[in-house]
Amino acid sequence: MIAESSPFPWFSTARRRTRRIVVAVYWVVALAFFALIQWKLAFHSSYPVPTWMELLFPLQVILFLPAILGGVRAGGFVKPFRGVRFVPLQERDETQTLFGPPRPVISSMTAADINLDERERRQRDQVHFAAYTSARWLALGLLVAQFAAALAGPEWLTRAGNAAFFLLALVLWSLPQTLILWNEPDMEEPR
Amino acid sequence: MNAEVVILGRRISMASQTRRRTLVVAIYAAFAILLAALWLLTGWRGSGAYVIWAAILACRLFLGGYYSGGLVKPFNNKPPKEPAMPPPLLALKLRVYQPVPADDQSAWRNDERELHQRDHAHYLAYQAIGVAVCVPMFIASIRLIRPSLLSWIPMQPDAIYYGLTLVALILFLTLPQAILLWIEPDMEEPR
Repeated sequence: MIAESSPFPWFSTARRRTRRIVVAVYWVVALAFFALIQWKLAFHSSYPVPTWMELLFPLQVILFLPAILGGVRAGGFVKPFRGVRFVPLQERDETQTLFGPPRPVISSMTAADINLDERERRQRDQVHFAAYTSARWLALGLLVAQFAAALAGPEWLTRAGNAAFFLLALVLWSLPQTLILWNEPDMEEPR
Repeated sequence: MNAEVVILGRRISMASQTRRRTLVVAIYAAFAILLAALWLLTGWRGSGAYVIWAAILACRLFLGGYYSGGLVKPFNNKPPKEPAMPPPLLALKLRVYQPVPADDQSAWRNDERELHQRDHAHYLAYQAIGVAVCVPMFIASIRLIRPSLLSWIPMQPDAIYYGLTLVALILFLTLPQAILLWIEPDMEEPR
C-alpha cells in the first residue's frame, strides 16, 4: 500500500519507524491547526463573521493536508485507494518509432502506484473496517460533547458544532492512511 | 447473511434481493419520518436520543451487523453473549427471542467471503460518510461567512448541526449493513 514514488523523493519511507514519525508529525501539525483555527474563530477574529481567508484556511487543511498522506489522492505516501484515471506521461518509450520521436509513456515508478492489486485492495478494506469502527465511536463522542456544550451555553454550542464537524472530517479523511502507514512492516530498500 | 427475518413470530423470507432493497428503503424512510416528526413535535429538544435508540432497534430487528439479531451476521465475528437470565417475558410474548444453538457457529461466524464483503462494505460506507460530512462543514462555513444566506431556513443553525450529527450517527450505525443487504444477490430459498 505504500507508494513507490514518495511526495518527497529525498525521503525514504521504507522503514516503519520513519513512517510512524511521519504519522506523529502529521497529527501534531493537524491538531495544532485545528486548535489554532478554533482559538482564532473563538477569540481573535471578527467572530461570528470572519473573513473569507479565515474560512478558506480550514477548508485548505481538510482538502490538502490528508493528501500528503495519500489514499484519498494520488501523490502521497499511500497509494490512491480508488486508483488513478488520468496519469501524466512522464517518460519516453524505449522503442524508437519510424517517424517522429518515441511515444510518451507513464514512468515505471508511477505505473506501480496507479492501481491496487488484490492483496492491497483487501488490506485497504480491512483498514477501513478498523477506521470505521473508531470513527463511529468518535461521532458518538462528538454528540455527547454537543450535549455538554449545550449545557455550558449557546455560544459554546455554536463553537462545538463547528469544531465537531471539522474534527470529524479531519479524522475521516486521514485515519485509514494513518493506520496503513503505522502498521505496514518494513519494506525492502531498492538496491 | 441470514435469509429470513423473524417479526412477531412470523418468519419472513429475505432471500430475494428486491425484498432486501425494499426493506432498506423502508428503514431509511422510517428514519426520515421519525426525524421530521420529532422536529415538528419537539424541535429535537430532549428527543434526539430516541433516534439513536431507533437505529439500535433497527439493527437488532432487521439489519444486524453491530448488534446480534437481524439479517447481517455480527461484524465482530464473536458468538452472541449467553445471558445468565432467561429471556424476558416481553421477548417471549412478542416471539422475537431467537435461541442460537451453542454448536451452530454458522449463525454468527463469518467465512472468508463474508469477511471480505464486510470490509468492502465498510470501505464504501466510509467513503460515503467522508464525502457527506463535507456538507455540514460547508453549511458551517456559510454560516460563519454570510449568516444571512441561511436565514430562509426555518431552523436555528445549532439545530441544523444537531440534526446532521444525528443523521451521521444513523449512517454510522446502519450504512454498512444497508450496503451489504443492497448488493448481495438473490439467495437460495431455505427448504
